[in-house]
Amino acid sequence: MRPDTVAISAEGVNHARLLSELMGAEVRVYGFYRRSQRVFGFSVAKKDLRKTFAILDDMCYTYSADASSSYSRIGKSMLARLGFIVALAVCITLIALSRNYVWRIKISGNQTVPDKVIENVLAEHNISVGKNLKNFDGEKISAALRATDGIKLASAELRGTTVCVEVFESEDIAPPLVFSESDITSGYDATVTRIVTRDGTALVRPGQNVFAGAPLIGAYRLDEEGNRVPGKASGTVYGKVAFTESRTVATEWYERVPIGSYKRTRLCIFGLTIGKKLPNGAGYEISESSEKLSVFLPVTVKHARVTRTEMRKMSAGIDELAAKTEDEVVSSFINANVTSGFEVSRTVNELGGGLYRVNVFIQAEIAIGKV
Amino acid sequence: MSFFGEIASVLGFDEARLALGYSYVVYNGEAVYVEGIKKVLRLDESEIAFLVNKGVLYVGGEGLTVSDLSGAAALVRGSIEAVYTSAAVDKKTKVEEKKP
Repeated sequence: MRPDTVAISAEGVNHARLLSELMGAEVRVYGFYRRSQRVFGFSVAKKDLRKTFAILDDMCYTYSADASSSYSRIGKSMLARLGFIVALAVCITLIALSRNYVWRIKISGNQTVPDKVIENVLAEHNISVGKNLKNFDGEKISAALRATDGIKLASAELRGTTVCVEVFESEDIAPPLVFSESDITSGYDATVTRIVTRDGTALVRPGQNVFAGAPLIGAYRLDEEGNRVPGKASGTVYGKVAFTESRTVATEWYERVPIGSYKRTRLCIFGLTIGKKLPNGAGYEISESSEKLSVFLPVTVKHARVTRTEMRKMSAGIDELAAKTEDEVVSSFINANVTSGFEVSRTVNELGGGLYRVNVFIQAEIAIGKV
Repeated sequence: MSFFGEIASVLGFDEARLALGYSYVVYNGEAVYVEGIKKVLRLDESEIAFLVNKGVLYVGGEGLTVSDLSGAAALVRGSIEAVYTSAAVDKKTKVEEKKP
């Protein structure tokens, strides 16, 4: 619709005559359209409205002026929503002012140093939720964080109204070497492969078979005459150890599998949860996480991923199952003690009814000594 | 000078002569601009008839609407199939009547 025009809808039969009359009165007509055989519409300039109405009256048309120009319509609707506009202006002003204040503090990278310790360092520099941002000095805060126990590196920066702190914690110092007052004994039935003695007397030789509990390094020394002089035992003894684990597997089983998922977000204010309830029952798996908004109200956003599941009959060949079982046993066995010489083998026995026993044999060199 | 006025000067017509007649231009079969209208005689979606100085000017087509009507000029929009005068219609009728 053109500005400063009025849309008119009218009802009558001789549309051509009406247009001719308007032409004759020098009324400019825009966008003439026909809604039905009798009903039609057009627009005229505001200044021509009086002449148009006079012509329509003369011709005994039923008519109505639908709307004035878009500019004045916007103006009128704005006036009608004065309260909304005032509220909007207040909101915009508040948002503009709030850009000068801390709305949120995001801390990442810390596992052992608690958030509270970092927040205290920030508070010492006048940075906490609701405080003015003019006090923010990223360099100073980073330096203060680096001076905190357990933090090696730190950075503090401002992203909008959020203070983002990232820390890198100091690596753990290796525990001090243990010097035992008693003998170091074997934790496994094993064949000794290597002995590293730091203190005390080695009681075994490479190639020697030992049982669990057998002494490996004695907490004493021998003097020149062969007499025992009590002392401490310290060192590492490695040995080849054999492990066996048997597991019963079935070639057919039922498993709950996901068939679809969706996300659901809810708001929690003053303990009141707003949003659709989460489904419950055996057919659903729900993983939830929540995010506390650091605003002036205690608002928590709860994110949930709802996964619909169903029981399905699964099947697999015994070769595949045996390989999978072997992998599981090996991954549960591997740890920092294993050094070298890792050998794995397996056997499979059929038990009947689709059941099999998978026996996994592992041979590996590990540190066998224990205090 | 108007578009039609410029064409008239190229053709050597004087403007007074032009003002007494009518002119039209068709835009890609989608709109017709007509000058020299005295009245709108008929208005429907398939034909619009204007009274001009030397008779009637018809605009034929589909979905025809008068999107602007100002003074003696009109802009008709729609699928324009033909623009013809009452003189052409009369001539065609006479030819048809003479046919055995």
